[in-house]
Amino acid sequence: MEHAADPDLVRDAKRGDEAAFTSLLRPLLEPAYRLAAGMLQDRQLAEDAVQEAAMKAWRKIHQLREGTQMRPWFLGIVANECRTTRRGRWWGVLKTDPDRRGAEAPDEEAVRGIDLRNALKRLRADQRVVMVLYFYLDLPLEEIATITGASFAAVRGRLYRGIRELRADFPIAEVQA
Amino acid sequence: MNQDDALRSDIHRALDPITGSTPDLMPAIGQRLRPVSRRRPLLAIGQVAAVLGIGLVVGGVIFATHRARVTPTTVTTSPTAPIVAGPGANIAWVTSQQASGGAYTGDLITGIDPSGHVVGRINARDELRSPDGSHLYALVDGGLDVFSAVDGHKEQSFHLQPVTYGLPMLSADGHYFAVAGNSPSSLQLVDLSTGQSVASTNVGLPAFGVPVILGEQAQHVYVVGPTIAKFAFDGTTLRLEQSTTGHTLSCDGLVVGGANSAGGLPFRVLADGRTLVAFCPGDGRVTWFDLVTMKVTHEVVVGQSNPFWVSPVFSPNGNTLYLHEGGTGALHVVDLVHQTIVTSTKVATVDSNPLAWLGSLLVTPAYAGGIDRTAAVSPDGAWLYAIGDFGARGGVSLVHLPDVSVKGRWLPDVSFNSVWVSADGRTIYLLGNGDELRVLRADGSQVTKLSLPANTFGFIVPTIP
Repeated sequence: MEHAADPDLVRDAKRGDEAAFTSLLRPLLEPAYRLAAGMLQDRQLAEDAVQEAAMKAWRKIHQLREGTQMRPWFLGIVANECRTTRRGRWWGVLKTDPDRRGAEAPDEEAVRGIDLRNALKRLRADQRVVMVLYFYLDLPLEEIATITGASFAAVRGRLYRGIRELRADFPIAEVQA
Repeated sequence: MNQDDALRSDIHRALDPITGSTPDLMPAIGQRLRPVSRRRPLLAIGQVAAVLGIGLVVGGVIFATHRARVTPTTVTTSPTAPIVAGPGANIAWVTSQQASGGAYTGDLITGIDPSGHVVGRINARDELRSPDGSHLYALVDGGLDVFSAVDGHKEQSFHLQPVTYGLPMLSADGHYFAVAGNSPSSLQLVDLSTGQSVASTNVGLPAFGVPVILGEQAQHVYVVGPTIAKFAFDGTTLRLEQSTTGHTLSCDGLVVGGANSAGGLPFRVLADGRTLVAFCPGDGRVTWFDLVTMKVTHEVVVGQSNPFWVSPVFSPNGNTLYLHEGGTGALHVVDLVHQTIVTSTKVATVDSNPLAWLGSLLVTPAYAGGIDRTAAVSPDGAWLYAIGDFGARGGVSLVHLPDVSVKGRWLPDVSFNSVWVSADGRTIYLLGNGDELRVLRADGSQVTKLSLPANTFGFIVPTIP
């Protein structure tokens, strides 16, 4: 389980110390990026979402209460940013990784990956974020509940429903969470 | 491994290729932190007040300048940034015509992803696909419906003034939408980022043509038809600046283009932002038109058996026009920058059906815009996939475009009538007889074959003006 943020760093960050804030942020960028990439399935969008989330965290760090865990607080901002990004991007022209253009044809595993990604994309945002946090970031349900601001039971319900809906499009076995 | 771990492993395998290694985000974040560094509240308030004050002054100057500005006489350049694929751009959307009592009632549009799964269905008509492939648009009574190309769900509806025979078009960056139509003869412009209809004008002449929107703020809108009309947009109103007379594009009154016509649009604005190149399916003529001087600057006529059945396809950079004759398998390559015909050669195999060309005798105006798409270019511009038409077997020819040579042929015993390549170039979709769709990988191996609703008509390809 994640430890609470270093109180000295939090205090300094609240005073406007950029170095303190970046020290708090640095270890969180990888899980944040993985969450955003899993949610948005687009590297460029994921980078943008994490950057925006970092800006919001910087502006809101005074709201971080003493003893609060930094990771779920920041990942919650990232998750919300991903939802905003998905809502707001309909008219944007998006970037894709040029290295992947014209690559060799996907093999069976790649096709299976496409199926699963598409199935994930079809999930509701609140289910998808739980699925990504649980299965991709390997976080415990308790922390996911903190990140999403939902109860443990609600998170577990979303997980089960997400798995059930995935199964409709993608053949997977029964899962015991 | 338990079931939980199995799914976890599947999801990791599915998402890892998308995620890749975590980029170093801290430098960009650090740069952005500095301008918004949180200072003491009073200082911050002072800064905000100062910025607002400066903003008001600058805004006032800009507004005054904007109001006083005379509309420039030169054309604003079209967006030259490369169009990159959006979400859903690898999904093929195929129309199947619906009819009642023998009368066309609309289209059933089916989305198929690269794994061959149907991802969604849409009931619509007069469809259009965004340049980045991410959205589908359909004119409806009194408005415009917008659908996601990811799964076909309706995202938005925009109100439009009712118009009949409307011809819609998007700007290259997807920010603006325009529709020209008759009854009443009008041109409407919509800012898609706000969903607001920003301008509308009654056109004094029949607005029978396709709108072409140029400039980041849609500073100019052209209606390209038998004549070409040029409108200036100042942010609030559309004003007719100039119009040609007669049949500018020498196409016997035929409107070139329109939503979802063969191979997308048979015209394109070149990278210089001022030259429109159009292919006329009436006589096989390629015309260069200067959007600033509003004059035809050059024409070439490509010798074709029957240009009506030619599928015109532009290279991704817009510098080359490929004219593929589905009936004969001939390919003509036109260098649009140097205004020359580079080569004409036969690339597709067309045989086995001696009655195939009977189809060309049955052409009626009702078929305009419904020409099979018999060629598609890969997104890197290196390959052209060509098929025969009219039920002729011959499969798919792989044409290496740098030297215009056939390097291979897939499924030679199968007949196809339309081909489309996904935005990432990894998937080739082929429509065949019997409303059958095949999904192939870029190495020619088949992913799947599936049946589509009856009267399958063609792909809705991204329209790039």
